[in-house]
Amino acid sequence: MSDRMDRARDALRRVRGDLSLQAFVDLLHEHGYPGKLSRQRLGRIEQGTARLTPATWNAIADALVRAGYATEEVVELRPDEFIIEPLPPVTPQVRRQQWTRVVNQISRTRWWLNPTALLDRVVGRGWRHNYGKLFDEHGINREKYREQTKQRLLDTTEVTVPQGNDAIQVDSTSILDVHVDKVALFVLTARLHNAGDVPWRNRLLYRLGPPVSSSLPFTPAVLPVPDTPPGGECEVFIPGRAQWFPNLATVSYVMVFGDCTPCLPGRLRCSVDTRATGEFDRTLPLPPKID
Amino acid sequence: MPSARDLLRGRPRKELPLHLVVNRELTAAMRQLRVAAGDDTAHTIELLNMAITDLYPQARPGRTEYGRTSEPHLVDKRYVLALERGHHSQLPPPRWLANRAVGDKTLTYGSRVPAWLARAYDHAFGADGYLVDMFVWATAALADHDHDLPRLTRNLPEHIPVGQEYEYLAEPLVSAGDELEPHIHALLLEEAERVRPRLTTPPVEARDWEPSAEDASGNLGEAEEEMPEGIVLAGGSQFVAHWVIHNIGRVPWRDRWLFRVGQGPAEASLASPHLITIPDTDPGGSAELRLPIRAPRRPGTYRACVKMGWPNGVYCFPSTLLGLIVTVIVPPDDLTSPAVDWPVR
Repeated sequence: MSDRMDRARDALRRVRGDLSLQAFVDLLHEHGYPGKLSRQRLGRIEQGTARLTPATWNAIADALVRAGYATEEVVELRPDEFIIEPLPPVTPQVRRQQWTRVVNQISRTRWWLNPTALLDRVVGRGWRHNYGKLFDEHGINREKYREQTKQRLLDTTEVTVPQGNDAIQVDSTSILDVHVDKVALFVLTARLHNAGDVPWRNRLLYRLGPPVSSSLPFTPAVLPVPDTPPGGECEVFIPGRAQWFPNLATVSYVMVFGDCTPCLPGRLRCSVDTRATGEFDRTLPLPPKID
Repeated sequence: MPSARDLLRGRPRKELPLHLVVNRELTAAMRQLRVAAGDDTAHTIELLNMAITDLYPQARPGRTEYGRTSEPHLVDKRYVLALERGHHSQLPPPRWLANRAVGDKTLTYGSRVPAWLARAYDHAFGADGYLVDMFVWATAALADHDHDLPRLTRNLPEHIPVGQEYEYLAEPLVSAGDELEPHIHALLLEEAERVRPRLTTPPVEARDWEPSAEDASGNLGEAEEEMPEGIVLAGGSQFVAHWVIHNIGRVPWRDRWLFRVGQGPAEASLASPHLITIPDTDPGGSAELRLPIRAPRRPGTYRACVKMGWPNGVYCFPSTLLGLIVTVIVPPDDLTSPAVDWPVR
């Protein structure tokens, strides 16, 4: 960090150039530097005996840009906290670690199937009954799903990739596309046919991308696939809450083993549409009294 | 008048807050991801601290001394909740709001989010890089807000060299990698034709470049079948984000541009032209916008945000923080054909 501050101080001295401390302070104030800054303090900053907050470094850089300095000339003044490094690549190990940590405490997690707490907070008690009915209609055994996911992700025995033709088909009776109100709850039904000659054991559906955002629906990041023999069929229920924005969103699941390495090519694609016919998603008006 | 259901629930429905500080969008997204991982705050903070330790092994409990750049540290409930609600290390309100009366001051609250914390949230709650990308454009939008009116400090129409409009528009896409595909090339040529007259003929209505409550833009999502949110695309793919926006206010749209907000480095963000034109549109009319984009090669989830503004960079809808968006998922390299649907029988 000290290297970074040294570079910022060097950059400040370089940008000031031949200007006197007082002239430089005047220049900053003329170009919208918001706070108080004396030439004495500027001198202490340059010598390293006074510290500035990141916001103040940014304010100095902004004032200099307004004064006509090029963005590149002042970039060194901006603190590191506004520079972000990309994350490490998401490998199967990272995926497993991320979701095993969540699943370890699964009874307390919302991403899974915790409709009671979810509904109380989001839509009120009136809907809880309907959501419960929705689960009952589909015969979803929430506890069984929970245990299966936990057991698969936490299983530390090495996964052996089965030899043979591993293939899948989606039954046309599956319900994978829904049109609902924004933030409404829904359940999708995927009927998956084991069209290969290897049995499916301890498999999971893993969602690509984040489990939720303002424009993407909230669905579980990991779901168990029931063990299915060749030629057999299984049902996977995908509970979720629609996105906040009125838009069309795609959710993609891939099939993985318990260690989060992929089993099959391709994906299961679902779509959640919250667009309302003829109703505009409009820009927010300016707040009252400031127009 | 509250509805019967609200009365039964015992409390009136709250008005949707109009946040005026862009970081509120970022911290709201952080909270949304954290809460999605569990109802138990202590447990989710435990997960967050595990991620902080993964990414920053030197992190210890205790906050950064005041006045220093924030360094990674383990977090507690008080810190996390205050930050997510916009109350921690508060940012000054946007300059354009400073001298105006805002009824509810909490609208101008926003937390300063350190980069390391955005990364840790992303890693802890499986955001797939989405928060890291959002941090980049939220930071850029924050810089825009720090002026008399929200404006960009770079990439304005005046920066486009006359006669080199195509090169200027194509530069972010070309620098990101391979040759442009023919349909992207053709689209950029068309856009360059639209840009040129705007550069050579000065706009005459500069006095009207002020946001107005009479002005409004609406979106019916007609074009989203082509590019739904969360679409999965191979790294390096070139595509066109397509929007149809409707002028549903009472102000004619003249001399307007669509600005890309906070474009990160080409290897880790969606690459697009810095700005494109918006056709002049009278109230009741609609405008079609097509923005060519190239996905980065690095796997992750990326979101591009564009906003409507005038040639001087002033945003037409300063309190609408997101503008138009498009979210794309570049799948991890170990998956085979993740953009191909399983066959239906």
